[in-house]
Amino acid sequence: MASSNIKKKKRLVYISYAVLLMLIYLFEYSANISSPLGKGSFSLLVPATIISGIMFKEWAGAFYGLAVGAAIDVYSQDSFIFSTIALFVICCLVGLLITRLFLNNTFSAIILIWGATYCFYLTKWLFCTLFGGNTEAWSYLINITLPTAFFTSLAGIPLYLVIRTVYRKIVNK
Amino acid sequence: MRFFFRSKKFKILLSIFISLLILAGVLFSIGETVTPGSSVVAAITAPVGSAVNWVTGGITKFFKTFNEYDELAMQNDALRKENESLVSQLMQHQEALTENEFLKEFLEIKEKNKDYIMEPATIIARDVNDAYGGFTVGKGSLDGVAVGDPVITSAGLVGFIGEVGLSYSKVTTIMSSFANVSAIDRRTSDVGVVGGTIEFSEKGNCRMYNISNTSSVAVGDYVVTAGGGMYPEGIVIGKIISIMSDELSISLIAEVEPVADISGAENVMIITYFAGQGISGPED
Repeated sequence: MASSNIKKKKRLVYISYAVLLMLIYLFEYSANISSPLGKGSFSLLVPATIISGIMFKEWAGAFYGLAVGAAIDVYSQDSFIFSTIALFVICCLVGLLITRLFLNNTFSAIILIWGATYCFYLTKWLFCTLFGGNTEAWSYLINITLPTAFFTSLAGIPLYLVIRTVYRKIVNK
Repeated sequence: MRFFFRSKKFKILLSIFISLLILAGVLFSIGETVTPGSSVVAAITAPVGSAVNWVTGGITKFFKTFNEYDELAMQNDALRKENESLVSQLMQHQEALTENEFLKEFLEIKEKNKDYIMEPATIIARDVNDAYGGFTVGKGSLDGVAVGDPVITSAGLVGFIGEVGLSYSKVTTIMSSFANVSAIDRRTSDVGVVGGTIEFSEKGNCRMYNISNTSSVAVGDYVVTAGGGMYPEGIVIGKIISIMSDELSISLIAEVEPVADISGAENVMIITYFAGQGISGPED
């Protein structure tokens, strides 16, 4: 009885997180919401996906990363499979690191969100912008990639704290 | 960690990773930029995306109306003076006008340019990570859209089709550094190339470069496509708002404000055919 309840709760947590990611994805890529171009832009979807690796460990995190990455690539202007591979690997690694190398606490989670976000944007710049033949690749790195990575990782911290609080309440209920 | 690397889970994850790398390698080697999965994901997310667009559109309109309260209040006072039935008729008429506005503009352009074969398309998504304002439209190769087709609104040029899936296409805007549109100043007939840079795209503008330093281009001049290659002749690109000398050459650079509302557009038109398409222009 108790184990079936735990299973049910686990399923609820996984499904609700998938719904949350889908909602963020749909609103972030909505045609009616124009985000500021350039330095002010940031993404909530990338840190939310990385957080899945931290919260649900490597196995579930990898699959959330795979699904979100594939969805991002559909509407991405400069990558056609990069986000799928990158988020799959990053979420899996983050899930592994948080439990096996780091202390699995809030501080290490924030460090991992910060590092993983920068890792995602810098590798994306390397493969999609520099190797993609953009004539102003270095200017793109300074003016777009680094500020976007900074704002996105910054947005990831409160997002993690909110998600963690909500999910702790769901699990403890 | 060692136990993880020996586990079945790790082997499954590793095989997925290797499969993805092989897929990426195969697609890259054949020059294909649309994965088979993309069309499937697009087909699944498109209806939900449309619903969300409808909701966000309503929210956006609500706040827009809220912001324009003063103007609306004045309009309301004026309207009160009118007969109710007349207002009702007017409202109905306006609604019908708004609904048909896009299609009328579409027909007008078609009337003026009989050689154009156009495909009206709705914007279904905007890439939040694209610094050049690129977006995705809900028409693809099944509708006859091909890579390189020009994308316009009734006001002017928006960009070109950068990537085509079965039911969707990705539009690269004229603010992108990948855009190289052969253009002329409509007043002076001076030639140049219109494209984007990060510096200008942040302001929602693009630049016209390679303008001869002996040219007489001036602020306020309109820039249009020169024709040939990818773009038909005479499509308005934008208005020159400033002119500066190019630090890297002896030519001039003009900052161009696009006439098309690229970030606010909801519908665009894709020109799938025009007379002279593909005949190489000066720069395309």
